[in-house]
Amino acid sequence: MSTTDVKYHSETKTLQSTIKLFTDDIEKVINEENGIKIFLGTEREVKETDHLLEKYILSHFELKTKNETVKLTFLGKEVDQNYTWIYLESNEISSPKRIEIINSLLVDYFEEQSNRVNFENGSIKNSNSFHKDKTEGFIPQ
Amino acid sequence: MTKQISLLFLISLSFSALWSQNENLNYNKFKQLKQELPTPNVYRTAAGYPGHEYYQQRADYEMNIRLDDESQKIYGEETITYFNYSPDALSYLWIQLDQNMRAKDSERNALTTGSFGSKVSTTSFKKQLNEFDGGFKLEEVKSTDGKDFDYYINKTMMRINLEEPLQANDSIQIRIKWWYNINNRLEIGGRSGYEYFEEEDNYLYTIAQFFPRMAVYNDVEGWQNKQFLGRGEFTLPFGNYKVSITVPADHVVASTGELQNEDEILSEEQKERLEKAKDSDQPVLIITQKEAEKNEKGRAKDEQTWVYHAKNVRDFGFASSRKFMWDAMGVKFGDRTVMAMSYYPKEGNPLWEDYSTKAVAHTLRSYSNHTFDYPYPVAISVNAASIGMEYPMICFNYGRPEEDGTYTERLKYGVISVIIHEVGHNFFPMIVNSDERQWTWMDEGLNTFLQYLAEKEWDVDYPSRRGPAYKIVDYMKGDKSNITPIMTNSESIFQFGNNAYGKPATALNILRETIIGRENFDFAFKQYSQSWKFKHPTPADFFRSMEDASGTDLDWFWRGWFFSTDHVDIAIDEVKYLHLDTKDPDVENELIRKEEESKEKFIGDIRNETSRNKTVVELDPSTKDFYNSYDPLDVTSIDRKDYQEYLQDLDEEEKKLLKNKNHWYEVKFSSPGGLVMPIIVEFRFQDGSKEKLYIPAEIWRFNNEEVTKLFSFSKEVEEIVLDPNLETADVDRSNNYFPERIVKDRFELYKSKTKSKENPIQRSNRAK
Repeated sequence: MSTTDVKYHSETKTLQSTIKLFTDDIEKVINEENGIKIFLGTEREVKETDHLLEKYILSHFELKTKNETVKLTFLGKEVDQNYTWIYLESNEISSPKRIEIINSLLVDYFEEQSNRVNFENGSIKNSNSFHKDKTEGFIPQ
Repeated sequence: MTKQISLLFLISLSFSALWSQNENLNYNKFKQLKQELPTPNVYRTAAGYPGHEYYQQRADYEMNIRLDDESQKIYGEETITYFNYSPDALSYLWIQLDQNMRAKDSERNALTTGSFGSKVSTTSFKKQLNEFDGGFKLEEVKSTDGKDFDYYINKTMMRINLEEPLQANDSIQIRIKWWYNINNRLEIGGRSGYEYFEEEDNYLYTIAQFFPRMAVYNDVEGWQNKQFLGRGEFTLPFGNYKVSITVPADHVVASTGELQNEDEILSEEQKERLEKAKDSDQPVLIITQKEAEKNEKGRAKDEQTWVYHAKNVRDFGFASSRKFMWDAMGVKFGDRTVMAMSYYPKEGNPLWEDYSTKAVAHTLRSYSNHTFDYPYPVAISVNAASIGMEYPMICFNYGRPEEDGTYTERLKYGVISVIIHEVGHNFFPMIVNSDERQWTWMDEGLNTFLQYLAEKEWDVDYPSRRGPAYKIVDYMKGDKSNITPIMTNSESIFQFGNNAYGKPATALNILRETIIGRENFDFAFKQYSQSWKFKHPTPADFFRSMEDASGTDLDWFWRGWFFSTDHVDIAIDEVKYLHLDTKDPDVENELIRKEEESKEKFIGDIRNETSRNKTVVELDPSTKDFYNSYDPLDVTSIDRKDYQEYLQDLDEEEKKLLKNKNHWYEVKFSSPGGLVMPIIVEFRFQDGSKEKLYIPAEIWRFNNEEVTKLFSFSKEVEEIVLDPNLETADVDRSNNYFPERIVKDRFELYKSKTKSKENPIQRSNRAK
């Protein structure tokens, strides 16, 4: 499964997203999509890894507020033995009460893939789950 | 539109809440599990052990198997001897035909939901198209006197209709002849099949579920009547196997059981090496890489038959290839030597030569310590691309280094983990024979739990993926639409890995570390394992024996962790400080004075203290009287005398209380997650010391939502922290602190440290 925490920061006026994936899974998908081995998080990690991650993540993870797509910037990643964390930040936007998510991360490759997204903005704390038969939805639902 | 829907949703919610209140039923989370668990009986006791009339069936097999390497087919003939030890007469027998899952008319294909995604890999395309002509091709189903049995095939199962019922304590023999096409595992998947090495035109076969197998008949399910859809694995009756496996003469076979015709098959040198391996504390190569590389170039036209016997196993599997290296090492259990062995092609090296057999040996020792001594003569790990799958005494595990011989740390630990896990399956479910067709968690969960212990015994810093409480938090918190309780049938589980492996393993770890304690848990877990060794336990047997042996009512724990999707979130809602009046004037007056001094001061008074003209009373002392120097907080000898008299009236206990515990805290806890757990609360004092208290989960027994409790200390508390050592899988730690703590999230931490864009490896390289 993957878990994404989306949080609205009132100081920066941005949506900050942290996506946590199994390192083996995301590496496998990036390898297969691009036909190369990226050696994620190892000494041999290839130079274009961040770029390939950015390309994959941004085409499978999208946020909308009030029907408008929020522009997300790929800040970077962290990798350990089990997990990879991806950091995305939006442009400045006004404080959203509800967000719409399109999340199809890894679902083309893993039958069982489940993608949980948690949204937090002040006192609003809610979540929604996505999988191969449901890749779009709102939080709060 | 969406607004309307959410409004309706709200209404229905509040309506159902009212409705359930009006029912006046017991919704207490401590309600006993009497209605969820079957009534104990003569077969299974209320204590969770086999009852005095417990029975189980037995199926013995004699088989001749031929592996056709030219056309990738298995040809087989078997004689099953089925013993009916049940008290019931059976008018039909069910036999499992698992290969039929791959037949063109398989139910699995009909039941597969979903659509092609935007991207379709060739693998999933081939899987969906199902061009493969799989499934058993039955040629004969006869009695031993040559008469045809009347049978009916219901997809992955075959019913033999008996002319006369098979009476209790009677047996029957069935002869079956069949063949099937072996699947290419890497193209269409599967737990068994072949891997093709195109460059050298060679095959590596990992063969299982290759013969018609007797289904289980017992006191719980009757005949196993769930079809094999590909996910809920197996349970089978125990029995003895005599199996002859005919393969190309240059193939090396690894198999369940003990090789009976060593003298025909192995060279003198190989036998010597094998003998040496028995007493070696390092793996000894029986077939070296050089020998294997030479062997794989041959194409023998003749065949050779490997004969294996296996006692008291519930299944049989084997692997065959001319590519295999083979190493072995003895593991001692008293005066018994178990051979830990590995078979792998050169593609598994360097990793496999270094770790596989050692991981097998470690698993046998570690699991035996927690359960019972490994009873079989061998335990084998076979290298097979991209899977992990277990059969008695043998398992097929992934792990191939890069072509240049390097491998990542992740692959190294992945390989050790998969070997521990699959070898561990010998204990659950191969020996403690639970029913995976019904309950995946009973073997995967228990096995993942022991895998975690074995990993930590391999290396305390082992990067275990599952086990610790905090690692299950992401799965348990938040939206529940895509999760199911652990107590869900194998075929209906969402998120298989978290549900059937991760969560039960975590729950057992929590029982061991926090609820029952290591010593008591280990005793109970051993009782369960030893009592159900070579038998068929059910979930109720596990729940009951763990309670019975540990002397702990765990119904609330099973209810919360296994029967619900609740999560743990315990919060500190409110803290009140109460000061106990000691009546000691020296103590109390000082406290009042401190409190007065700490009050906010008016700005005019602050300024007047320094910048002002002399006042009348300062200039003219005659304006002063008693009241000008009187301080009500000064302690007089009379005050002290009164206090001594007061003390004399107190008993010892009261005196002690007054002396030591004069700081009282009333703390209100709530449990918004719904899963009740012990309250583990740490008080941190001003002098830097701390005290951790365990309040059993039963504190929630009257009120499952909130409880208030008084704590008293001799020292003043500075901070209160719930679950400071991450024991309970609390999903929201922001409400675990008093005073409230601002917990920086991962994003902020990342942002604050990414001034330099280096990763740790780049940084360490730069330092070189």
